[in-house]
Amino acid sequence: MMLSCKETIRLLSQGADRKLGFGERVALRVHLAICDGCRNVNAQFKFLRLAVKSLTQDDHEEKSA
Amino acid sequence: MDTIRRQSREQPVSEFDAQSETAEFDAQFDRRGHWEEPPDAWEQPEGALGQKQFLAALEACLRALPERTARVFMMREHLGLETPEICKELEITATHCWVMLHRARMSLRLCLGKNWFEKT
Repeated sequence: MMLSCKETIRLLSQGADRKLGFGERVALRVHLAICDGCRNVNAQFKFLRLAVKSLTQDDHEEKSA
Repeated sequence: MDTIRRQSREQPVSEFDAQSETAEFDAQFDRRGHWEEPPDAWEQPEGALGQKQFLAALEACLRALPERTARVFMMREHLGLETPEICKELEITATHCWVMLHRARMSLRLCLGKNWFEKT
């Protein structure tokens, strides 16, 4: 099964929230191997997660830049 | 957390969020579901993490999300709750929960891209 980019990023997102099935993981990897745009979004999603976590730590805390 | 829970009860999540958000989301793809403009990588995003201005930009992007979408996203990513807990708490289906989380990520991606990464 070939995923579209739209389907791929939906699965990328869901992969952060539930365990993907075997077929889904394979289709995702195949698509990511050939698609720069979706790989970039994958990295952005990972960064977002990290950033929101760092927000937790810095919340209500004065930080010198 | 209590505030989040209380608000959720008072305003049950029963429908998908704003149509405008969906339009912005769909505009990124052509009819076959491929990128209209493939997204570029953000340059050295890790460097932004310690910066106060970046965190302010991130907070502004979070505030710009539809209220219910932001609530689900923060329950998941800020409080670290598992999706079944969130679904149960907000009395929504797992599918609805995933849709909202995905929309939150896509909106934040566009917002941060526009307000931070394309500016620096």
